[in-house]
Amino acid sequence: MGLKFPRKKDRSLGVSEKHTYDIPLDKGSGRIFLTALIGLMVFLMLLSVSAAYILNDFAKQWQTGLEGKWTIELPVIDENGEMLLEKDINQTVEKILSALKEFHSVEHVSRLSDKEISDLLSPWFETDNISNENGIILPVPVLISLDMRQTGARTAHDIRMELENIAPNARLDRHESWLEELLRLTGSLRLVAVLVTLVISAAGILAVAGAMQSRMAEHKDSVELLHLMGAEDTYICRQFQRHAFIISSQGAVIGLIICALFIYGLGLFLEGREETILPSFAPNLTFWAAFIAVPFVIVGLSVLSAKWAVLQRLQKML
Amino acid sequence: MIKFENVGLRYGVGPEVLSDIHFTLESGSFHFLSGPSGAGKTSLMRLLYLGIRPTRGQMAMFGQNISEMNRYEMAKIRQKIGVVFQDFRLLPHLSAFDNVALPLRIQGKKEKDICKNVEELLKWVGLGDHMRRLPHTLSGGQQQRIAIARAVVTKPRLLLADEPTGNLDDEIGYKLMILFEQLNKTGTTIVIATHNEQMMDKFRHAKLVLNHGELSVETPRIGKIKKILNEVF
Ligand SMILES: Nc1ncnc2c1ncn2[C@@H]1O[C@H](COP(=O)(O)OP(=O)(O)O)[C@@H](O)[C@H]1O
Ligand SMILES: [Mg+2]
Repeated sequence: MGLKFPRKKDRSLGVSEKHTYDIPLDKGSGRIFLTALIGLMVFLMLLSVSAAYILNDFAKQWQTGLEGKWTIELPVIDENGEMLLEKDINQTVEKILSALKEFHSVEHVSRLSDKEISDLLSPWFETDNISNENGIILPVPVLISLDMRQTGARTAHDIRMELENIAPNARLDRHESWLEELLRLTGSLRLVAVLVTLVISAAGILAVAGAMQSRMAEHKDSVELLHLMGAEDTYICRQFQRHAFIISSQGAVIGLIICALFIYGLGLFLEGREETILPSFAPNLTFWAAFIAVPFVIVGLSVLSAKWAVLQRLQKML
Repeated sequence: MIKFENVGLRYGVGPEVLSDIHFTLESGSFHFLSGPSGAGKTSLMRLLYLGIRPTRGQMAMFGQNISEMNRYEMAKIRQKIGVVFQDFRLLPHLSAFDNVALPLRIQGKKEKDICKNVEELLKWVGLGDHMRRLPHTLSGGQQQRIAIARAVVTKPRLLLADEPTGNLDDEIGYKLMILFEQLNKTGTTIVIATHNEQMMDKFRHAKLVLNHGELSVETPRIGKIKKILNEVF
């Protein structure tokens, strides 16, 4: 090239730096805000994508965990609030067990032991002292668990008829209403997460578009000059697209870092709280693919919206 | 190559700055555009470099009617035109070198060829030692030479210069006129707006004279006769 590019200290002498932009988009105020904004957007989007994914996973685990599992609940107090005798209870339970074993639709039936019940309850009470050597202290109902071969309404009806004969106050719980509600809840939370993602994307597109148009106004003379020299719209556009690319890439890296710190902090906070009613979540490949895709999607969107915004303005020029 | 028919121009709701402009420029011709200040020279230049559209009349450039051109065709036409703006319009953040290289970059030329051409040209206009300087650190005359170098670097088919020698002393002005003449000999059509009578006397080319928005054409011979008549009476 034969030309030496000046060092930084030469700049004050009015010597230019290496040519990068025809329009000095890399200089000027306001870019920090846009970078920070995109960083925050990437962070929020990573969170909501993770949330949507995790909720989806939980819903699936709950569904498969409870499918084909029915429960019979037998109260241990009578209508007057008096504790029933242990002997009577055991007798009723035995009757129920043997009656249900006759059903073809029931694969397996068993009474939950006190230990099993207290395990089930402990996350809700945060204590192991629900039972003592005499059994459970609280008037916890007897629970009989059923593994079902068939789970139709007809089967439920037949079992209920049988229970009516043996113990009218026993209740068959098909978990369906509970599960349905839970699924509806996770479903709507997931929808919220998806909506949040969409709103963030839209906000990002508008923010970048607005910033580009104001940069265009700021450098109106330069843009017009390029135009008069016969620069095609795509040439001028590329300058802004590159600017948007650099800014949003920096923002994406910032967002990723914030998110990594956040997740790390959350991990520290939750550490030692093994007992939780939530299923465990193991991120798989699809999750990571979605996670990694977020910054790229944001960068892509911001470049596209820069292009769109600049072309929009250029079309208005002669 | 360029044809104006009944062209009129007004800015906004103002009066007509140019009216009933009628002329044809042949390919390879050399014209001065003269007239008193405020006569509309710069406005006519703007029309020629497709910076504005006429408010009425027909304009054809390089055989194409401009009202029928799309954006792409307009850009391509503009690439064939070199312009020296009256106020230079150098990009303040770009060095002299990059300012001159800009039209070549816009046309997608190779960086290697750009370097060679631009260096050569800047040396020729006497700015070989200032290639990396930013415009605001250079004198008005030096800036003007950058503007001229930028206009001619692409070897345009049409060169428009709006008072290009205004800030230059006679010697450099003379040298630049030589550059324009050389360019003209290679086939470039040239229009130079000026009210420098000395210059127009020295380089005897046809004149487009603007007066109160109206244009008349004077060939050198008619100009000379007029002058003699003026001296006699
Ligand atoms: N951008 C503009 N908006 C409104 N009026 C303008 C503009 N440019 C020039 N004019 C008017 O047009 C007339 C011709 O100006 P100009 O073309 O610059 O003449 P010249 O270059 O011959 O001095 C002047 O009266 C000037 O005030
Ligand atoms: Mg003028």
